[in-house]
Amino acid sequence: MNDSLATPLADTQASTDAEPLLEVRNLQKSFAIGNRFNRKYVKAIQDVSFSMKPGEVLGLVGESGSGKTTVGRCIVRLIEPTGGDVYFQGRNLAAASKKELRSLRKPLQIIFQDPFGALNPRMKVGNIIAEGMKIHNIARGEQARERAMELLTKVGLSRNHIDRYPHEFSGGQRQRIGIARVLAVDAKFIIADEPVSALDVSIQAQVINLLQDLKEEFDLSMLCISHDLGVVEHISDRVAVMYLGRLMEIGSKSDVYDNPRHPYTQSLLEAMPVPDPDRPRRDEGILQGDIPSPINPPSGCVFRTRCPLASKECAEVVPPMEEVSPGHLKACIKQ
Amino acid sequence: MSDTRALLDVKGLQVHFDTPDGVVKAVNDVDFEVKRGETLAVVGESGSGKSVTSLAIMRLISGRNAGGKILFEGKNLLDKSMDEMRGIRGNDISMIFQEPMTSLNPVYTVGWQIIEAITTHLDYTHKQAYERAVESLDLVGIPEPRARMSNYPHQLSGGMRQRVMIAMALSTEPKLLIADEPTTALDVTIQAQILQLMRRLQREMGMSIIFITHDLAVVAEMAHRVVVMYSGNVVEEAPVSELFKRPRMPYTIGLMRSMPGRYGYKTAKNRLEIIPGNVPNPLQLPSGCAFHPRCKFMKPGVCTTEAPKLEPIEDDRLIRCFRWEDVQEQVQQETTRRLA
Amino acid sequence: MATDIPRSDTEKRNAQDPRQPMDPLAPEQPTGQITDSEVPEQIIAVRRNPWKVALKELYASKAALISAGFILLLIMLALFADVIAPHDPQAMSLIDRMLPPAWNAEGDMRYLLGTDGQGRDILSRIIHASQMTLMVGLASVVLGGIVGVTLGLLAGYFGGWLDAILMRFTDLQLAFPSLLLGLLVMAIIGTGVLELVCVIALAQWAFYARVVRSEAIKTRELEFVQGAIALGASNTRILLQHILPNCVASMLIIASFSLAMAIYYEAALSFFGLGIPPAIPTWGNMLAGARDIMLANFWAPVFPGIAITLTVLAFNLLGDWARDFFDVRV
Repeated sequence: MNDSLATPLADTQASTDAEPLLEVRNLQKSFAIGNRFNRKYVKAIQDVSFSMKPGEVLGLVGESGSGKTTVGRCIVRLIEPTGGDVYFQGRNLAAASKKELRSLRKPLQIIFQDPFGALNPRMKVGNIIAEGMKIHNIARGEQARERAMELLTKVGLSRNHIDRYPHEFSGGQRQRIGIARVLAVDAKFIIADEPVSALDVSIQAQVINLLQDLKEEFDLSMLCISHDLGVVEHISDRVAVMYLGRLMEIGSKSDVYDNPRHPYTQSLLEAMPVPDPDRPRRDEGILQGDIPSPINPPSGCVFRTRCPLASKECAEVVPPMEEVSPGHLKACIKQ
Repeated sequence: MSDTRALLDVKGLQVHFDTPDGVVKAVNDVDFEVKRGETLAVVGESGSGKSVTSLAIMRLISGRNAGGKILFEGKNLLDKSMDEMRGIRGNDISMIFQEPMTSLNPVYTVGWQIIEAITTHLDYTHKQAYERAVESLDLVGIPEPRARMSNYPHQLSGGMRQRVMIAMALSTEPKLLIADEPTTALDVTIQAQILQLMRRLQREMGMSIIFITHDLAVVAEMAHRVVVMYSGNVVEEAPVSELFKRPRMPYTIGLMRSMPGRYGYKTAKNRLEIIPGNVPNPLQLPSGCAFHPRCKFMKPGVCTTEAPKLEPIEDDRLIRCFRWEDVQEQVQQETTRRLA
Repeated sequence: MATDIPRSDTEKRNAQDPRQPMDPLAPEQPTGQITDSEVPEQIIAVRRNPWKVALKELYASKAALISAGFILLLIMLALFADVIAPHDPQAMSLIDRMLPPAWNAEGDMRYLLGTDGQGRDILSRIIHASQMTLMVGLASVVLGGIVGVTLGLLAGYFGGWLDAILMRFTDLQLAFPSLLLGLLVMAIIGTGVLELVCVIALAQWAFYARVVRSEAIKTRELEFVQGAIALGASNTRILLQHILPNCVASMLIIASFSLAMAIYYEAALSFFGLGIPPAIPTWGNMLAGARDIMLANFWAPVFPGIAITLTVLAFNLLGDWARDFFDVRV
């Protein structure tokens, strides 16, 4: 085994915790845009670090431009990170060669948002599901087909759907096929990128329940990326909040939702519409202004341009992640 | 003219589309009215017919009008000529859409587009229209409105574009604003700003709003009254706090209970309560009540054969369900059990 | 908060629920797991045979239907030329030289469309020439297609310097007048069927490369390709299994237009004497052969000319239809 791939972490994690399944350290990604005469860099993610224990569901919330999707894709290197490490089961994915990567990321799979774009329209459902089995020599031919049928029933579809094409299914059913495809390679860790955002309200709950059922049955861990605070609250054990490429706050679900300590998390929860018409509507105190462009993010704390508490110091230093209570961290210098 | 009469009264509206695979009854039987100065929320999922209804009110739909009336200030819009409709659109009734990028023409400045909207309907000189446009940009909370007049849509953020759309829609002081999912494409914090803006503008200008959305939480934020649609039908109508306190139609109950987060119902093992099955294919609508295949209160022989009618029940509420009384009883029992 | 919707998430109302299984009011399965019975069959979109759909659409368009019919007829003529043609296309008859068509007063009923300068039956020659015309057209389209699609796929999928180099080649090819290039190449390498096919393919590969490249770039970004990469699929697999099948529609559209172009090129090059050797009947050769007697005998070039025009038109109309058809479907 390559030396650089071996895990060097014993000191970082508290000794009481189980060995982390996934550890992301100082992940960075910047994109170059424009032509060679007018080149600019979009800092999509900066210095994102977190770790996850086996069997855990971490919700990653943020608005557009927060870089939450980029984090998911950088972990499996669908997008090449420009810096940082991703340790999965002790192996550094960020340092693996392309060849090693192919088998390394087998247990680490993605479910996409768009149920229309996520399945090859020219392949039958059976082949879509069996593709991963063929690639990794798990099963072939009749055996693969049988397993694909089994997986179809696992995700709430029927065995005889196997010879149909994706366009014959509704959005929710396609999402189920996408989930079966991932289960076919014995995924242990699933990155669910907005798994229900494109679905109808009455279908969302079905798919969320399915994900929860499968998580228990197959002992999965999940990184659930979503802009929907309700979905994340329901499905997650821990929650991380991102803004403009940086982590703002991370903690257990109750830490973040019931006791948010970062002003951005507070504003975000405040902005969430509440299905209670009798709650008095506050027309003041809503977070004003727009999300700044990631091409030219504010200096210091990226949130300071919209932050009600911002002061001069906020422009000077990038606030480090500080522990508020065990396991609950925030990136804000204000108390 | 008394002001108590509804501003807009939609009666038995039906819109059909002829497709190679058969007739799609996008709007089957829709009744509702919008009073002056009120916000009526129309809630539904894809295929519920909520957007088709709003486009039918504007006469912007290619589908076949299969029946019904749309009375605006007592006059049937379906009888109007296209010329007369052009005088109403953008003047008496304005509309804003979900996607603020595609609703604005990318090759013209923001100011040009608002001025165009104003001079089409009002007898203003260019200078007056310009001032009016600046005023309306200011009204929707756009900072430095004069400078923004010469901006192109792509120079503005999504939230700002939606504000421009609202400014344009309101520049002619319409009596009715139809907002079709106006915040769905926006981020949560921007959505909050736009919802707040629309509440304020309604207070100040007194227009009526039809607010079309799939999001119940947004309904609670915005509406005075709510119409719930499913498969081209209105299935329930109620004042907003009544609807949220005591949803009656099984579909509405299902929608509220399946909300993820802290407001939905959880079953054992922290699962969400769900509405099973899928939204029906509009080409093959189920017999009887369109919701019956997914309804846990369904009674064979009753719900499966005959289509229920939209009927008034106590205090200003309408419902389309044969079994709402049984449902009510059952829900009451469940609630007592849960609270016990 | 509304009284009917408690917030607590720990309740197990189903656990102590003494429900009767037959009661339609009974609440649902407690886990919320969706079984197959809850996803009823009828909600799935109507299954349709894509070939049937294409045929139906073809039937709806008069121009495309007539074109398809014409092309089918042409193929039949080519396949059964020996049976259908009334005369041997090579048989000369000095007595029957330069006869006008049969309906002309001086015409002969044996030669429906008249004869050429060597007394050969024009109708029989047109029928036999369709063999070579279609063969050259198909072969060059296939050859140009294989080269262009391969390069387009590689350029689009891998991008970077490979893309830059390949696309500059394509630009160069497209910038150079292809007929002129054809004349030049044929003048150097000589004439012959194989040479002609290569020259026409050379004029066409760039169209495939350009279109397939843009399709590949578009498809590469789609989530199912990203998903396949995450699954560990190799580049070959992604290209052949995922990207290529999704380019088929645009490939068919270009193929239809290129076939028209190939027939046109074959005729043009043969007319200049740089195509098929004059001994083999092709429409272009017939035109070339009629050059000298054109003033006296106008029909000699007219009929092969009509054959070329109709065939090119038919393939173009079919291409137009294919573009509309796939635009709606894909």
